[in-house]
Amino acid sequence: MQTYLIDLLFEKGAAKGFEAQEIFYMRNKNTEISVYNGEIDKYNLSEDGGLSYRGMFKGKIGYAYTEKLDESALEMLVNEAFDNAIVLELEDAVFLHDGKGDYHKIDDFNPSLAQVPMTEKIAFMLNLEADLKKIDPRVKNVSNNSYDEVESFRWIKNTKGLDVKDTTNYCLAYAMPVVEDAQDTRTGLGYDISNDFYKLSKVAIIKDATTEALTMLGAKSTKSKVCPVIIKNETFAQLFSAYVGIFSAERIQKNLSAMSGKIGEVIASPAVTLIDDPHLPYGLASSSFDAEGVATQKKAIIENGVLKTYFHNLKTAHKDGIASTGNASKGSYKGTIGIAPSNLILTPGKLSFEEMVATIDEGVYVVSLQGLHAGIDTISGDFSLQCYGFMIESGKIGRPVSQITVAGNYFEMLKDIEQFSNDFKFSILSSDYTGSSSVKIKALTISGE
Amino acid sequence: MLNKQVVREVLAAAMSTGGDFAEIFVEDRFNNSIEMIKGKVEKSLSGRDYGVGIRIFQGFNSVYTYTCENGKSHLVEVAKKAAAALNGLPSRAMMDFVMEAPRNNHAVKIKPLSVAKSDKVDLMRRGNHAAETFSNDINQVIVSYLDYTQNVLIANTEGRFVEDERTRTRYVINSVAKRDGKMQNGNIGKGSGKGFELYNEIDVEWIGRESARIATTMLDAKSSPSGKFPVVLDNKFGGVIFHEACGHGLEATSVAKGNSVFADKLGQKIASDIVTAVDDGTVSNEWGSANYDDEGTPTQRNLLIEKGVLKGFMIDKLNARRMNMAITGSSRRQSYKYAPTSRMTNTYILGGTSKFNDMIESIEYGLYAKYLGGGSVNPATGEFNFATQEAYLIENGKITTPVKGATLIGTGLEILTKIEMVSDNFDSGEGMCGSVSGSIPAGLGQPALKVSEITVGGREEA
Repeated sequence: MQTYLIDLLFEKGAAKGFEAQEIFYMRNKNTEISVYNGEIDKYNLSEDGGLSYRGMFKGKIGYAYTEKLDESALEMLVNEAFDNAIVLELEDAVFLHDGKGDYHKIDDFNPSLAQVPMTEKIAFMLNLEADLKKIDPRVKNVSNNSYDEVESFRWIKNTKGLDVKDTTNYCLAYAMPVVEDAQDTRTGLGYDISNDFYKLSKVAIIKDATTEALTMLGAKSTKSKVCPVIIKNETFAQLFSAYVGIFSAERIQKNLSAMSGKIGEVIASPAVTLIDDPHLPYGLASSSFDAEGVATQKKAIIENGVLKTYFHNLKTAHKDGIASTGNASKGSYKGTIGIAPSNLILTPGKLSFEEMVATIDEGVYVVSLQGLHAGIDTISGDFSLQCYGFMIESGKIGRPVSQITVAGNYFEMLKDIEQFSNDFKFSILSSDYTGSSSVKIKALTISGE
Repeated sequence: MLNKQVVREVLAAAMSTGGDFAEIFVEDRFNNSIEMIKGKVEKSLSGRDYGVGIRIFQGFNSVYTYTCENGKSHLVEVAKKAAAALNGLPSRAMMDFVMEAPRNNHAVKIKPLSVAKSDKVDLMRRGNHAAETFSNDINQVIVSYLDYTQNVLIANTEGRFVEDERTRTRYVINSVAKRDGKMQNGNIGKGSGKGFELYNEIDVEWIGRESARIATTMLDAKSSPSGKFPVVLDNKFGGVIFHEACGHGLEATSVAKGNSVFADKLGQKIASDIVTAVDDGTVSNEWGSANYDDEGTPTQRNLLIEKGVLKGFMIDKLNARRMNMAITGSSRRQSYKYAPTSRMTNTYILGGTSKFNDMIESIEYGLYAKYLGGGSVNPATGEFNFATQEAYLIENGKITTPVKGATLIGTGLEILTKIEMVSDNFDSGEGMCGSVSGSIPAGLGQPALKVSEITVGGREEA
């Protein structure tokens, strides 16, 4: 992205009548390698990016973006942003940040990741597939076996003095085996993520991908009942993060969240402490500034069950008369400013997983939830989700169970959390980068036969 | 877009290391979206997507790359870099492009780009008003409007060179009702491959009222019972059941590698006799239609199940090689950032002869799902789930109390054989479908179906 194009854009914007202007520029380099039956199945190498522009006109901010970056695009950005600004009917005060603040230094970028020869990355995936197939005769196939590497550059600059940029990168290897025995088929998933290729563990991926899938073979439904439930660490991180929008000040101010008016109140059991940590070393969502260029900060959202704060950006914070929490977000250059957490951490408890299981006489251990985009209602808090896992019998993990659903209400569930164990793990499948330990819930409804 | 000479040089560069097929996909797309909350425009956003995707095959292997820059030398360099992933000798390909006669089965009468934003806002205001004034319990109304115009150029070394324009419009209202501390929402929308003329044909006030009606009705809903019961799934978006339970398992994406429960069932009876299903990308101006698929193949109507017998799959070029079967004109992708693969277009269970009332009357105790929510499936195991948005108990042959939180689960092979009655009230609906080649508009549709038994996951004992 050439600086002269930005200068030219701001010149055109000022001429159009914008009082303040900002660009948000992103550029990504992506590498994807998939391997199937000992050969490279897919190999994607790409670069993409785009420029988001916003300008303030009479107290309203208009947005436009483009992926085609040339001088003709600048005209379009200014005109579209102007048309979008004048159609707005918002009365809330809006702001562009001036770049002041205490920016935490984050140094997670690993320049040597892209230097690792492609042949080594391909060899890693070929070996992963081969070893996965050898580990057990019931591994029939590997449906997906991929390596992803992403390098991402972000730059925010405005006419009020803000000028911040950063570069991050990571690599991810994952495998999804299909296991089969006696006409029963199950799938598994194992992955590892790092910003250092040499830290990816083939052994760990294979273990995660197969252990659970193999023990799930022969799973059957069970009778419907209300009972204590343990939800696996990564799986609870997914369920928890599917609802995390209820803590966004935007949703609160729009009357779309049951958390309205709950600051300082008990909303969860004392076992629940939730930290938003944008400075976590090597966190996937770590950054020193948010999408408005405001300095990020580590804070507790829930502390021992008490709601401490909502997530704010400049606009919602101003409305509530406080400072932004540094949680402005922008899914990509295509979006407008919203609100999102950074790395979310549900603080672990003391017992080991086995010790926690031992506290249950009869219950269900849920290892996977499906249809999280459909089976939850963030307004009422109700959820009913297809799941699978294991029976818990006399304090021990028992037979595998599938074709069941687990149902409850999120707000009631937060209060029914008895404890977290100490097996903390981040989930890459959660909608934000959320980490949790396995959790014991007093009672949920299991539906089956 | 790009001229033939540039395309020819880029494809030649892509074939420089032994590829046996190369394809270029150029996309130029303009997006508009507006969001209104409680009668006020809160968001208005527009922008342009532009990029070029290049794909190379060598046997079963494929290489894909994309870029936002379209200078000839840059594209040639990108193609060469991608080709470097294969290591062979340059291959010669036929590159006399055959100009397809322009094909337009989905003509747009009023291009959304030609309509002022204020007219779109007026349209949103009408729906908002209808929802807001439906009941005193309506607490919040969100109206979303979007349109896009996507121009594509698709050319390949088989000599294909096609250009196409796809227009999509969508209008959705989400109403939230609140009473005694309880909140429920109702979501109704209409998506189409038509232009702005769509809004002369549909009643946006009805969309507002219907979403508000669902939200207020569900305030009175009790928790759904749990267990296995007969279920009646109504028409329109009810088609999501076939989409999830079976459709994904018929995509070559999972069939070609044997990772679908349907992979070895071609020609076999997989559903009850009264079930016939198609995937049809040719329906005029429908949400999932196009003149050409994203590999440049004309779309077609594909018979999937005929009277219960599995007749066909949805197959793209790469998987056609693995499966040794013909392509079906249903290879799709979200954008140039994705390599295309076999996906559903508009997937329908065709109409039957039963009457809706007879279905309800035939059930002593069961569930009537009037509006479904979304769902998902694991094609390898066939296990699916989907949520209900508005559902009722059926007691002694009558629709009675509304119930909330009913999630329906099962396996594709099981549910298809348990379809007992197919009614005569076919209608279609629209959804967004997410899979390996991104999120794409997918049409759905069915008449009301009676399934003899589905596991219903609720919170109450039956």
